[in-house]
Amino acid sequence: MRISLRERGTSVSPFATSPLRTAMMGVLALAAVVLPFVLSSFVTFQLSMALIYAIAALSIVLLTGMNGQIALGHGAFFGLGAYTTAILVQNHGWHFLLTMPVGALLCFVLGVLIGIPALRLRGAYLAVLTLSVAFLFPLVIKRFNDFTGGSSGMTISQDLLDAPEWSGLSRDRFHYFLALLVLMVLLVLTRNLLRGRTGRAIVGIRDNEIAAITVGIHLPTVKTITFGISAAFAGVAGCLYTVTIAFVSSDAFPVQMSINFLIGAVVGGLYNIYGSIIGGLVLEFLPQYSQSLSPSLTAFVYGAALIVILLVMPGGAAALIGKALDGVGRLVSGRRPGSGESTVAVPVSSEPISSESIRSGDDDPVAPAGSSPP
Amino acid sequence: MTYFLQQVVDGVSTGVIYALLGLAMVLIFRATGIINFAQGELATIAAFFAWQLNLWGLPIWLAIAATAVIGFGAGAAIERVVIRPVANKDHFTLIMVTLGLFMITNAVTGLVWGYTIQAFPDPFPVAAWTVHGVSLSLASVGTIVIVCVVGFLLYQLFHRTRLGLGMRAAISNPESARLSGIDVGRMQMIGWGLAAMVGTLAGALAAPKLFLEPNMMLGVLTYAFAAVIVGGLDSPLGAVVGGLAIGVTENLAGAYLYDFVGNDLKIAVPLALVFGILLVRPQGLFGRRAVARA
Amino acid sequence: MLAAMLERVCRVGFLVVDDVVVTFGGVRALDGASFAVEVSQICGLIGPNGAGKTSLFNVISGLYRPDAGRVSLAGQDILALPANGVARAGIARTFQNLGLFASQSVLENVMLGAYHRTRAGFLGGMLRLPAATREGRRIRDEALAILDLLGLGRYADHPAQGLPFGTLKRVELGRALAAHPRLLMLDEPANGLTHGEVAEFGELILQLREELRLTVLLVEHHMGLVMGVSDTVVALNFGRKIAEGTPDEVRQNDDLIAAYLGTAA
Repeated sequence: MRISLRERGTSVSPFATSPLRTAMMGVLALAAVVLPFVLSSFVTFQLSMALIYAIAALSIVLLTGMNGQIALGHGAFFGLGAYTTAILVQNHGWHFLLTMPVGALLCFVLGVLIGIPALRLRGAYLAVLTLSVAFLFPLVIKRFNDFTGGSSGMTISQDLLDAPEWSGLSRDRFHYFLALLVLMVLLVLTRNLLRGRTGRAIVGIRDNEIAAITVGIHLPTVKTITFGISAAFAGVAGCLYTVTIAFVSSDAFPVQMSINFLIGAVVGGLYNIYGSIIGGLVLEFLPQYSQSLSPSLTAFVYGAALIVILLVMPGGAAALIGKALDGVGRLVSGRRPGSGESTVAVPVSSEPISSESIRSGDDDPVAPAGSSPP
Repeated sequence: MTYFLQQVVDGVSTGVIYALLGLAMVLIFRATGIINFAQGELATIAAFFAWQLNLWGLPIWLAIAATAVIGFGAGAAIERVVIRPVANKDHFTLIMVTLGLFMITNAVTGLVWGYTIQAFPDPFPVAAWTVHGVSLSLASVGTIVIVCVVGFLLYQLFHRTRLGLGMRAAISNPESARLSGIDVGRMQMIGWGLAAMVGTLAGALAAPKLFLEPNMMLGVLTYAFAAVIVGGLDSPLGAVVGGLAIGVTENLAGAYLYDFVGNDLKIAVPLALVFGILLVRPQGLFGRRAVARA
Repeated sequence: MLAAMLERVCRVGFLVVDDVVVTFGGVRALDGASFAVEVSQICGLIGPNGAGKTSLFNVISGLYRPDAGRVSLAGQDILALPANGVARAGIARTFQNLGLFASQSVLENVMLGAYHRTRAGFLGGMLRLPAATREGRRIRDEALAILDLLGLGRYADHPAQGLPFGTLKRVELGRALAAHPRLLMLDEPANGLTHGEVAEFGELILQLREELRLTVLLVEHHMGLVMGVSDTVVALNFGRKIAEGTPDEVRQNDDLIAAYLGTAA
């Protein structure tokens, strides 16, 4: 898939450098810690769900936003994580904290396995492959219903999900802080990754596959492992989902969930890892309000938001906030913002190396010669 | 043997629906180079519309015909309003926009007609023949005939008419097509309009089998995708063969691999096959390979 | 005939391109091109549009698999390498229409040039393992030094997109240099440069060859630049070599003059 270069930054951290951004991060962090002690346990539960969806959106930001591989099937990894926790906790008596590495590992392996055929597919073909995965997941769950509970589902006993004694927290608050901790850890890991050599390769592949090959990047390795890590993130979110909701069923992971994750990531900002937090909040709270008006309003708003954002603000809410902060910062300090923060610029060239493209059309799903294993 | 033939025949009559929706996708792909994720939902809303007209007293065939005509206008309007502004964007944006269209269409269908399952009147009279122990319903035969006719017409359109040639020029090189006097925008509008018409047929013929509800085409969409991918995105023949192959494989898997795949997973078999094929022949079975180096 | 065979067998050089054939759906982009370049020589590659110059670049950099022929660098068979292994063999290139990572900063672009000679992987990056961090800092310093050398220091944090074409050409050169290549392939590097800048760029190439002992393969339409810096010039037309020699020799070549004036038949 070739992604146009317009209005796209890799500003991995929009909150870096400027004191205003640091201040905003501080306020947000404080709020994140204080809120569960102020709000009702139901709202705390909702916030936990928002954090979990933020993790799912982060997995999309990494794979689709940063690496350029379209992901329409992450609901399946989310579901696999969810069932891993459900089955291990309910049927095998595991502590739910211990199920998370298992869910992550399973999803990593499945992600790499799906990432391998994905290497040869791009654009719409990859979208259809991943969509098929999302479509098949509930059917697999139904097929093995003696194991999974099928569409009637599987309830996890509440006492198995209690907060550990040492935490001194209520169950809801513990789940909230667990989700918060996991999100923060994954954000830091992703930020570190993207700032380093491999991160430059991940984004480089999105920007220009041919140039990526010529600097020596082995596309199959980087793409499949990125796919695996992204799947593992989604899987961990799924584990937390089960911990928080204590119920799984095949109907809880429909195709729409996968599409919603992608939409959440786009709305929050595909090219900014912190956009996923906004994406998570949108995915949890928007349906709460729209659903009460009409059952189909959510889908309508998602669809409309998707189109409008892609047309008007491809960087999503994160880019909008970044711009606003820059504006305020300029007013306050009277200085121009650092050039490194610029996210909007004229494309270098609409076709990176058009006259020498290895394969011509975008509709051709074949990867460039160099990306297939020797 | 009779059992086997019966399974194949049943598979074909499911497959033609995939083929029909696949044909609509091929049309849009040839007109605009876009894979339309909203195709299934557009077919669903068309089926609801036809159902509504029928409820208001129009005979079902007339209702379908009227919907097809209105669908043409609606398809062209969607191209104009939603697709045209993003036509020059990258593939990711295009996919996402059709996904947005998918969600909006689905929501509008639900908003207007609700989520109660409706019975769609069968446009074909109930009748069946038995040939060598294999039963053939009139509906199946009729649907097959319609798909063949539509496929044939599209083939003629692409290869024998100025419009089809213009479409081909418009997608392969919009700039020089424009310079040689082809109205690219009009080609694309007509493409979307025609696709909506074909989609209307797909929706109306699928609805009696699937039960009419806003999400009815979601499965069909996935299989139709698989059909056009295996057949080649630009090939009407490929869409038909692909659709039939998927229908038959699905049915045979359900019949002979039941113990293993069960009723829920039988569709996984053709999907797995499709992606297997795609790994070997990325351009599909009938698609032309894009020529390297422009 | 024996003489021709002997010449082929005995052909030596640092970069050896031997009888390379590339076809695209029946069209021969390269039709048996052969030549050799010695260590630390600058070889100009000229020819009309469509002569096969860029195709040849794509073969040497592993992006095209030729239908026939051999390419070797210091005796190593380049065609046996996967496309991403060519960088490690010591080959770096630039692209006619730029092959940059548009969203990344100029500094990051240059650092990516050093990708093949660095190690940090996924885990090292995510966990900021000391080795990865140290390596990252080292490459960053090197890249900054290259940017200074090319007069690009002030653009280090600017995204590649949005900079003028001529500047980006230099960024791309910087990225290629960061690879520590033995063979540097430049595809129309003077494109987008002003007259004065072309002369300056010629000086730069000579200086780089001198200090880094680089072998350079240079595709360029700017005849003044090619003839000014090249030790040897190879002229291609219709995928075949039509002339080879010193700039002075090539300038006198009738075939070449005919190819450029369009009278060749």
